[in-house]
Amino acid sequence: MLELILKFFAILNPLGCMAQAVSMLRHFSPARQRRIIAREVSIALVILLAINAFGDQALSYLGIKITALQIGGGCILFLIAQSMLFPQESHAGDVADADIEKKEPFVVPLAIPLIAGPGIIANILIESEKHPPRIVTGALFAVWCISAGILLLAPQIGQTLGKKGLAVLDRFVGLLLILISVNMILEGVKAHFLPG
Amino acid sequence: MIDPPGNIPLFLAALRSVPEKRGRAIVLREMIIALGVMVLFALGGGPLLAIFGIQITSIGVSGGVILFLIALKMLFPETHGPMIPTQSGEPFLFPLAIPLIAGPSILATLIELGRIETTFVVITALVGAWCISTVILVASSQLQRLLGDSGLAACEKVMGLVLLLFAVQMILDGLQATFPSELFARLNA
Repeated sequence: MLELILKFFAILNPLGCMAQAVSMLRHFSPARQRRIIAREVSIALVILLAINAFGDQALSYLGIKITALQIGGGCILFLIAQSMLFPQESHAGDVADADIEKKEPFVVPLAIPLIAGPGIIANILIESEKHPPRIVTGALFAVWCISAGILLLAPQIGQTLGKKGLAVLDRFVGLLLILISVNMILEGVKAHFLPG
Repeated sequence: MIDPPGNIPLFLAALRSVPEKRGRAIVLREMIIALGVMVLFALGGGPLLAIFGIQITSIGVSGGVILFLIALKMLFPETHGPMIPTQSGEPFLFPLAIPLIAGPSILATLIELGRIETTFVVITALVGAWCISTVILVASSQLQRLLGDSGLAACEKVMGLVLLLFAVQMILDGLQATFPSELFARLNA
């Protein structure tokens, strides 16, 4: 349970989300910001729980096996992680930022894909094959509570850590995610070609 | 084996940037192309592939690789990959007609059947299955209107994920079919 919580926490990466959410919402008043964030994290929770409940039916409907999920999910996570290790000038957050400068963001891009992104979705599906549903749901809910708290406190935390502190944190999480993602791919390849 | 219900989400993903009316026309066009390809395979697929020395499994693996790249573009629109230009236009031939409709499994089956049954039986069965699939897929383009613009935008990342997983599954199946299963058994031992 604890390892699941830590893993989900690293993949969900609320501290990384926070920095992007703050920059996206900087045009709104603090009270409004808090309301938007509260709404978006609730939407994300509903989406993640729905995937937790119905994801495996959807996959078997499409004929996708767990090994493909591990390899594909690993590839996505690897790409996300490498963009954290080598941040580009035109970051995803900035691109999205230009579009929604005035408009209030709804579902996209905060709930999906910033919080409920492909990395966490793939991992929920993988873990629910390995563990009983009660544990996965519990871990998911625990991580969501922590993340929601962090996101709601975003402005304060951002000030304490500063820009440098956030960047350093991003590198650490990126490195961890690279390891997790390569491990996912290797596990998937092994389980597919050498079962048993 | 054409699997129209399973193809609905993949079709919606590929047609997300096209207006609905146009989408229906595209689905119809792609289905006709796919039928042409399948009939071609039923008539002379084996010799055709033999001329170029292409294995049937290569269709699955290469289709999977390109589908993988398309899915990556949907998931990470900002990355400037050298391979696939941003798909602003409508899809043509790839990836709808080939490999989603005329995929490796149906093509391989057509070649196999061509050896056992008469050509007439194979073609009739193929056209029958094709008609049902076309009706289902053309009707499914209505779903796009049901979802609406914001719904589609929210679905895009999930669709990209589904497309990517589907691509990986195609690559894995193709690899497994290419190499003899004894090889894996020996590696396992």
